[in-house]
Amino acid sequence: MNPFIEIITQPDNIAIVIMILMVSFFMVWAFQQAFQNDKLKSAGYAVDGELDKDVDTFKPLVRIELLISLAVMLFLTVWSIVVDAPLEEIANPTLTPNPAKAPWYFLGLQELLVYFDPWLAGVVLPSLIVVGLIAIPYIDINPKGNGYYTFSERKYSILIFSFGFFVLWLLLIVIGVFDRGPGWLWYWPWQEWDIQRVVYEPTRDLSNLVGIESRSLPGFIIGAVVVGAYMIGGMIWPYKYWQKKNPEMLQQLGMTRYVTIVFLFITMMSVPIKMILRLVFLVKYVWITPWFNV
Amino acid sequence: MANENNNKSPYRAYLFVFFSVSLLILSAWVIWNDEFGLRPWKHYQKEYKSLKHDQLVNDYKKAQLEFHRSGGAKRLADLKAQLSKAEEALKSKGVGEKYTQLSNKLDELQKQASDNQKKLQTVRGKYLETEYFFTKTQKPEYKKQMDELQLQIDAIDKQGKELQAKQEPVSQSMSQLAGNIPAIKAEIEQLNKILEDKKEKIANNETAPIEIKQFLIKDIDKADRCVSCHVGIDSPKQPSTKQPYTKHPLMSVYLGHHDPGKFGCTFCHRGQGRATTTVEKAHGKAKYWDEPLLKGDMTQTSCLNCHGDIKNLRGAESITKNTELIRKYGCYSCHKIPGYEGMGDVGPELTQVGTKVNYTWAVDWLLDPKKYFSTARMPKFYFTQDQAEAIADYLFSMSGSERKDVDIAAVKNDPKLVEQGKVLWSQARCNLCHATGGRGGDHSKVYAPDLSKVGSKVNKTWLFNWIKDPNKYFPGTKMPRFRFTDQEISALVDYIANEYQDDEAESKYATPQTIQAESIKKGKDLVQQYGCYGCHKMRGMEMVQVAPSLKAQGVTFLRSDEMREKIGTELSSIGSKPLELLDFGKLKKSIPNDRLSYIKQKLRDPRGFRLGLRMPNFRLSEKEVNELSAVLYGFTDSNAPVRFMVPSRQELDKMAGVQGYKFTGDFAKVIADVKCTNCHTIKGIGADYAPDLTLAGSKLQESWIRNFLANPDMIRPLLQQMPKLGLSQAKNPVKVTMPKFNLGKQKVEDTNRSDVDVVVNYFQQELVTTDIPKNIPVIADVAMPEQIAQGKKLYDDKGCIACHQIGTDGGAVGPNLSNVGNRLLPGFIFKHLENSRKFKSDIVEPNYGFTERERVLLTNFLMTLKLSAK
Repeated sequence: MNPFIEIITQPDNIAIVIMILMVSFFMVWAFQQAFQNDKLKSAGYAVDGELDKDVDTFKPLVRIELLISLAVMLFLTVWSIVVDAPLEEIANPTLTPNPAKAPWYFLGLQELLVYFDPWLAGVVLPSLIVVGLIAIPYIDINPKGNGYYTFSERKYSILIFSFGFFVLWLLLIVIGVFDRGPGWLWYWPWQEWDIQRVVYEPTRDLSNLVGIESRSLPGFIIGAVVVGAYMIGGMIWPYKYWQKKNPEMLQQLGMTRYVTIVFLFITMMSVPIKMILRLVFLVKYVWITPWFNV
Repeated sequence: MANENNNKSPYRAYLFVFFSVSLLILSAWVIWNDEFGLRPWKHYQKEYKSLKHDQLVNDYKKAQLEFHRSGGAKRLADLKAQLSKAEEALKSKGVGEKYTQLSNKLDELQKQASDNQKKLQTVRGKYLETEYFFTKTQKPEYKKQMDELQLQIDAIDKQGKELQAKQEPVSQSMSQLAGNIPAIKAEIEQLNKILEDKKEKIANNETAPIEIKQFLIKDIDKADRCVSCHVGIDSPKQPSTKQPYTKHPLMSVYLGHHDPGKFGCTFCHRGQGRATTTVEKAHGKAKYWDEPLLKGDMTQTSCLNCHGDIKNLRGAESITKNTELIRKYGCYSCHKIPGYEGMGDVGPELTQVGTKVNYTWAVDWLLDPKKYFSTARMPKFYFTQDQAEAIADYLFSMSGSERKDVDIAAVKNDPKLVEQGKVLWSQARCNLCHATGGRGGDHSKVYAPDLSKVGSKVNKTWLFNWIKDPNKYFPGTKMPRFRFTDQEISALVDYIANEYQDDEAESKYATPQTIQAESIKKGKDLVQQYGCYGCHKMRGMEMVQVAPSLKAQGVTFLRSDEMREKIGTELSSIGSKPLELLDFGKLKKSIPNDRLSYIKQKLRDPRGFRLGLRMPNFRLSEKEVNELSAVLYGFTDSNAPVRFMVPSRQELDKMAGVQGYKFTGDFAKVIADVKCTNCHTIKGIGADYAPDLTLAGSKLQESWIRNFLANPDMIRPLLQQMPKLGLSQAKNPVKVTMPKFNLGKQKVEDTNRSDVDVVVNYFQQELVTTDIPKNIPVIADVAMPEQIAQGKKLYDDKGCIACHQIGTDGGAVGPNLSNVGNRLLPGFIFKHLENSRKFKSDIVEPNYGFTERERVLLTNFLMTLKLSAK
C-alpha cells in the first residue's frame, strides 16, 4: 500500500486526520465569512449578528449543545465499536520504541524539544501558553467582533492567534505525527522509515559562528547580549512603532497590558526564530548558562 | 429584546427524534456486540454441546439396545415381579405391622445414638479446650476440670455402645422379616445404574454452563483461554473431528505428560492465549502480536524450551531430525548456541592444507564449493577471484611459499595396483560414507566428502599418509584408520587417483609460483573478517588479534575475545528476539515482518538484507530452510520455570558431578582409531546407524563376534537393518554392510593383544548387564529333544514366522533367525522374549506374555538354529 495512505488510515491517526479536515474547513469558512462581512461593512451595510443583543444561554445555547453532545456521543460510540483501541506490542522494559512518540495532542511540544532546552520546551513554554490563554480576556480590550465574523476589526488578534494555533500548535502536531521517524529524523510521509539511517548534521552554538567557544565567558556574554537585545529590543521597538502610528491605542492599553502582550508575543515568536536558526544555520543554542540553555 | 432572539432560534425537534432513534438502535447494537459479536466462543461451545449431546444420546441408545439384547431388561422385569411378590408377602402375613413397629423402634434408637454422638463431640471439644489452657497456664483447676470431663466422656461413650448393642437385635429381626427384599432391591439398582449413568451424563452436558474457560498458570504468567473454543481438546471421545471440537493429537504423549492445567496451551503453541474476540487474534495473527500460533510438526519446536535431550523423545521426532541440520552445517561454529558448545570443528584443519590440495582447486573451492561437488557443506562466501587467491595464498603460506599444482598429466598409476585397489575399495566399503559419482554415501551423518573428483584435488603423497593415519593430519576426524599394509595403501591410492579424476581440472600452477607477501596479508585479513577459523582450525588463528593492516582500515569488530564469543550473532534466543532487533533492511516491504519469515529469509539469502553483511550462503534447499528455521525458532528465552525443565543427560551428570561415560584402556584406543561410534551407539555415545552395542557382551557369543569382526560381509546380511515396520520412515530397507577394518592384524602396543581381543574383552567386561542371566533355567522333567520340539511348536503356534525368517520362509519385519543359535547368547533370547522393549524402546515385537517355561522352550529351540560356517 502507498505509505501515505497507510499512515493516514492507521487507527492512531484517524483523530488527527479528522482534526486536520475539521480545522481546515472551519478556518476557511470563518475567514470567508469574515472577508464577506468586511466587504459588506465597508459598503455601509450592517452584517448578520452585529446588531443582535445578548441571547439567553437557556434554551437556545443549551439546546444546540445538547444536540451536538448527542451527535458526538453517537459518533464516538460507533467509532469505539468499529475501531479497536490501537494497542501495539507488549511493552518490553528492555527495549525503548524508536521513535518514542507522545500522545498526538502533545506532539507539538515534543517537536519543540528538537529546538529548545528541555527545561524551556517542557516547562517554560507550556506554562506561558497556559498563562497567555488565561490572560486573553484581560488584555483584549477590543469590543468589536462579538457575535459576527470580522477580520479588519481584529486584524492583529486574529493573525497572532492563527499563527500561534495553526502553525505553532497544530502544524507542529502534524509534523510530529507524519514526518518524524526513527531517531526523530525527518521523513516525508511517502518515505520508508529506516532504523539504521544516520544523518550527519553537526550543530554549533551561536558564538561558535564567530569562532568563540560558547562555554567560555566571552561566549556567555555574547549569548546574554543577543538574548537580552532580543527581549529588550522586542519590547521597545513595537512601542516606538505604535507611538508613531496609533498612540491612542497604546494609551488605551496601558503599560501593564502592553508589556504582557509584547512579552508573550516575542516569546511566541522566539519559537519560529529558533527553528530557523536551528534548521538553516545549524545553531543549537544561542546562550549557554550553567542552569539552562537558550 | 432577548425574548425576540430566543423565539428566533428553531426548535429542531426532528434532530432530537433522529438522535434518539439512532441511540436506541445503537444501544441494541452495543448489547448484541457485547453478547455475541465479541464472544464467538459462545457459538462454538453451543455447537460442541449439541454435538456432545448427539454422541451421548447415541451412546445411551446403544446401551439400551445392548441392555435388551443381553437380557438385562428381562432380568429387571423378573426382579421387579419378585420384589412385589416379596413385599406382598411381607404385608399379607400380618407381619407388615410388626415390621413397621420394628422400623420405628430402630429409627428411635438411631436418633438417640446420633444425639449421643453430638453430646460426645461437645464434651470432647470442651476437654481439648481445657487441655490447651492447662498446658498454657499449668493451673491445677484445669486439671481437675479435665478429669471431670474425662469421666463424662467415658459415660457417654458407654451409653453409646449400649445403644449400638440395642440396635443390633432389632435390625436382625427386621431383616428376618424382610427376607430377600434388600438383595433384590440392590440388584435392581445395579441394573438400573447402567442406563442411569448414561442418562446422567446427558443431563450434565445439558446443564454445563456456557462460559469462558481458561488455564491460569501463574509462574509463567499465562491465562490461556483456548479451551473456550477448543472445548473437547482433552476429552478422549471426541464428538467431532472438525476444528475446534477435536481432541489433541497424540493425547497420551502431549497432554499426558504436559497437564494443560500446569502448562497451558500457549507455552508450546504460542498464539495469544488471552484473546477471545476473534479466531485470528487468538491464533496470534494480529498485528503487533509477535507469536503466531504454531501448528502441526512446527509445534515441536517448543520441545526445545525445556527438553535438553530430544533424541528418542516421543512426539519430538520431527524436531529431532531437524536439529541434525545444525550439526551438519555447523551453525555453532560462528554462532553461540546453548547445548552445542565444544562440538568440535566442522571443517578440517587447514594449517597444512598446502601439502594436501592443488592451488587451483583451492581457489575454485573458495569461489564455489558446490561446483566441486553438489553436496558440499561449505557455504559460498561470494569471494572475487582476487580475494579467493589471497586466501589460498595465506593458507598455502603456512606450509610453504609457492602456489603449486600437481601436473595431472604427469601422474602415472600402476594398472596392477589399480586393480588391487579396486578390490580393497569395495572391501573397505569406502562407499558407505563417501559418495562417488552419485552412488553411495548412505551413512549421511558423517558427512564424508564426495570423492568423484578427488584425484584432481589432492596429491598422492598426502593421500597415502592420510589413509595410513588420518588422526595425524586431522585430529578428531571421523575417518577410521583401516589396518592396511603400506602396499595396500599404495594400491588404494593408485586406484583412487586413477578412477576419480576431474577431466575438466586444469593445473595452472604445474610450475610453482612464489606467493606475494602482500597477498598473504590480504588473505589473512579476509580470513579474520569472514571468520574461517570458526569451522577450520589453523595455526595463528587460535586467538585472533586484529591484524594491523585491518586496524589501519578502521576495522574493530574483531575484539580479542571474539574467538571465544564467536563471530556471528548469538542464537540462544533468536526464536523470541524482539522484532525491532531484527534488521529487515531493504526487505522490510517485500517479506512479512515476523520472526519466522526473517529467519527463513536469512537462511535463504543471508546477505540480501543490506550491504556489509558477512554471513555466507549455505544454499539450503527450501525443505532445509523450513527444517532449520523450525529449530532456530525454538531457541527462546522463554523463562520456563525450573519445574518444566528436563535437563539432558549431560547436564544432569554435570549437576551431579558425575563424569560422562568414557571408554577406557585399549578399547578407547581402538575406538579412536576405528571410530566404531560413527555408526554404533555404545553407552549412549555414538550414532544410531548400526545396532546399539551397549549390551553386546550379554547378547552376543564370543565366537560370533570374532568371526564377524574378521569377516563382516559374510555374516552381516543377517543384521540388515529392517525398516521399523515403515511406521515413521518410509524408506526402503538399505543393505548395510559393515566395512572390513582388518582388525586383528595389529597389536595394541602396550599389552600386546590383538585389537579383536581388546574388543571382545571390553564387550565381555564392560558392555554387559546383570539383568541378563548367563544361563537360562533348566527344565528337568522333559528331555532336551522333546523341549526343542515343543519350542518349535510354540514358534509355529504363535505365528513368529509372520515376521521372522528361518531359512527362506517367513516375513522380513523382524531379524532373520536362521543363524541365531550361533549369534546370540541364550540368556539374551530368554530375557528378550520376556520384555523386548527393555532393550530397544521402539521395537515393534508384540508382547506375548510367555510363561517362563515357554520362554525356556523357545530359547532352546532357537539356539538350535545354526548355519554351518561356509
